[in-house]
Amino acid sequence: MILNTTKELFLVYLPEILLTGILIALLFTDLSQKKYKVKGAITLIAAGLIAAITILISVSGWMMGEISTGSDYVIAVNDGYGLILRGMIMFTFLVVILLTYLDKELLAEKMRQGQLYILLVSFLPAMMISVTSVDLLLTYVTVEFMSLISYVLAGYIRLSEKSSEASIKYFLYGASASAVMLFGISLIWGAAGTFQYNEIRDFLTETKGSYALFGAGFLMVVLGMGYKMASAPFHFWSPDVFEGSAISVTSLFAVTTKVAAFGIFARIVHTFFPVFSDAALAQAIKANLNYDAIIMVLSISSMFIGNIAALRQNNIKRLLAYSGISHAGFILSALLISNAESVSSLLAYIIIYAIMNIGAFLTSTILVRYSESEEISSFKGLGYKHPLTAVSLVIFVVSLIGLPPTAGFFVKFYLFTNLIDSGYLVIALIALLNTVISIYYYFNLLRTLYQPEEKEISESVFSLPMIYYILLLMLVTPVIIFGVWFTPVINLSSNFGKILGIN
Amino acid sequence: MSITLTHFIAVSAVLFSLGLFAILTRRNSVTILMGLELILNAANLNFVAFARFSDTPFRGDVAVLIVIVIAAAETAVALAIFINIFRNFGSIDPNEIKTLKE
Amino acid sequence: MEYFDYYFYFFSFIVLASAAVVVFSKNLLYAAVGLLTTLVGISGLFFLLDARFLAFIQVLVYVGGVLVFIVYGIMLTNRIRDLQFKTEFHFVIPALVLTGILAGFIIKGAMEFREAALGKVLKNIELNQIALILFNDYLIVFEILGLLLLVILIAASSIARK
Repeated sequence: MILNTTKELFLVYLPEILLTGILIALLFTDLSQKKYKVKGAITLIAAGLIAAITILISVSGWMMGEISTGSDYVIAVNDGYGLILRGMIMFTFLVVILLTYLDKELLAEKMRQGQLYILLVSFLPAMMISVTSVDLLLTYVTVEFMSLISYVLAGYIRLSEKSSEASIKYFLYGASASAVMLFGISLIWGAAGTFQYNEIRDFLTETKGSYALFGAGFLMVVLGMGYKMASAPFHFWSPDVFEGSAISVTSLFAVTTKVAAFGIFARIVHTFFPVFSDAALAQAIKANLNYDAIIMVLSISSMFIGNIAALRQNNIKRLLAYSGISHAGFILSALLISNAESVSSLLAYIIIYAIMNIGAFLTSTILVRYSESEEISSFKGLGYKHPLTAVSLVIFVVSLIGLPPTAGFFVKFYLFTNLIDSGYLVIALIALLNTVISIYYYFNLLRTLYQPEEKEISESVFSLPMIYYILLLMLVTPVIIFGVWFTPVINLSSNFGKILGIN
Repeated sequence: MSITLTHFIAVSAVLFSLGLFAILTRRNSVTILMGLELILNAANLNFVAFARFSDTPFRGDVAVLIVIVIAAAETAVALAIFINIFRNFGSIDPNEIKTLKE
Repeated sequence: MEYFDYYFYFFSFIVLASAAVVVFSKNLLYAAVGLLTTLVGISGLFFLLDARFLAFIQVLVYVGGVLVFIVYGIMLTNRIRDLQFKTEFHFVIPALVLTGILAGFIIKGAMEFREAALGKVLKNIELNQIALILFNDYLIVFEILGLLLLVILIAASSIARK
């Protein structure tokens, strides 16, 4: 079904349009108010997000099809895969927006608060459209949109040397990566004569085009997207940028933009190389362009580099950055799976990864607020003082390791069985080995929480608002429930997670 | 010898390499930014040159328009970040800026 | 089509020579002037490829806008009084090897790809064709670019001010 009337386009993109409207409203309130009300802005954005999620489920979810504005050219698709990712982006963003209220560093500058929320909300339309895109130009523009705002937000803490440094490093490496990616897109355009994913796939299956140009272009696109996903060997920016930025901005980079980046990259790989829908075709393409070797290198190096570097980190944000790099390796390995459950194991991992990682960021933000420091050693004794937060962190961390009875265990189990089923036993074993390595540094974090305090710290005046306990409960519940009853996630991701045009 | 598509692609490939060389070797942020502009222009040349031999020639032209807008936005952000960092460090040499540990 | 060849070599020489100035000059202001002539040369190549509208836009936006930004960047972030526009190099040899390999690879790919003489290309590029594609097929991209420019304005002004 082609969606091309004004009404259909309006309804499909209604969540994005609503959020852009909220952006405009924020702009006007920033201009008209003398004293900016942070609470008001957060409430407005949160209400908008909840409304947008409802619209996504109740309106856009019923209009699957190819999106075309004007002539027959299909520029984006509205499919189950895109819907799940759009929903996850909004859900994690909701947590990030509530987190900003706890972030002392970010809100210290009164003059900048109004613009801060405008910039944060502007992420959403770009990210949500990017996961529906099937056109390389639209993908490039939305990725660049996210990146440009990220560079600014990384340096948002005024007169902080660390923050400015994070910003310039992020900019110089990131802009170089996306310029190279653009050059890669121009080579793909040269080889295939089109920007649209499906037409590029048709070009690849004809087996008469120039694979040398396409291969060079595809490698450059992998470089650009690998940078966005923070997968090794393009990961080097991530720990520095995470450490330099304010913690709520870090959680945005670590969870929300990564969900979008994985979504874009997985759609590109799955559409270009239709492994599980047409195996013979995939073999023909593989003979000319060994793309799964590229993904294997990215995946294995991300797992090892992320986990080994994480062993000697003492800053909570750097630890989570390296943990994110190693999880990028796990998610990339899901792209190798060639059986029918390929997309569903990828989506299940992304969903659970987003929930447990945003939960880990939420709890660590609260702990940082209690201990007034981002060093892990300063968390000593917090496990006894603030049992609810600490227990939630324990649950999220156990899930990040992948131990039962949490959702992290089942999602890894599902991934490993599918990897072995597709004949990648070695990759599954490497992933298992990395899971074992990761136990060490995650448990180090947990042990610190329950160590006795060395010296008496004066009682913190900060008391957590009630809403954050509800939020913690909202995030802990799925991690526990899906750990023992995993069918809903598999059903959701396998029945609903279809990429339009390939299956 | 008449000019073919390969001639144009050769120019753009050399331009891309020069830009990449600037990014990899230069130590001043503004020079790196100029290297980025070289790469973007090489890509633009590719878009138009390949478009002239494709079935849908105008799509390449539209891509160039879009890239020009993105390049302008990127430069604006770059300038703001440079000013911000210059205020904090008094320099925009990325090698002199080392607060974050390796 | 002899003239065409001369024009091509002339503009390519301008582009590559001034790009080399951008990359190898140790004085930032010379590099900016080199970038200026590179951009003008690219605009000339666009003319040769019958992309006249793009050639004008290239001069208007790039040379008029982006380059002025970069010169501002140089002026604002260097100590003008000391005239310290000098910069240095690092990692020269590995970068030379890497970029050489890449350039060779791309040119090789282009050579084996399609050999077509430029004399046969379409002669009349209509501006309305570009407009039709931009406002029909790429309407979403156009909308996003509009939003992007608004947000970049806010972002840049909010971190650059005191």
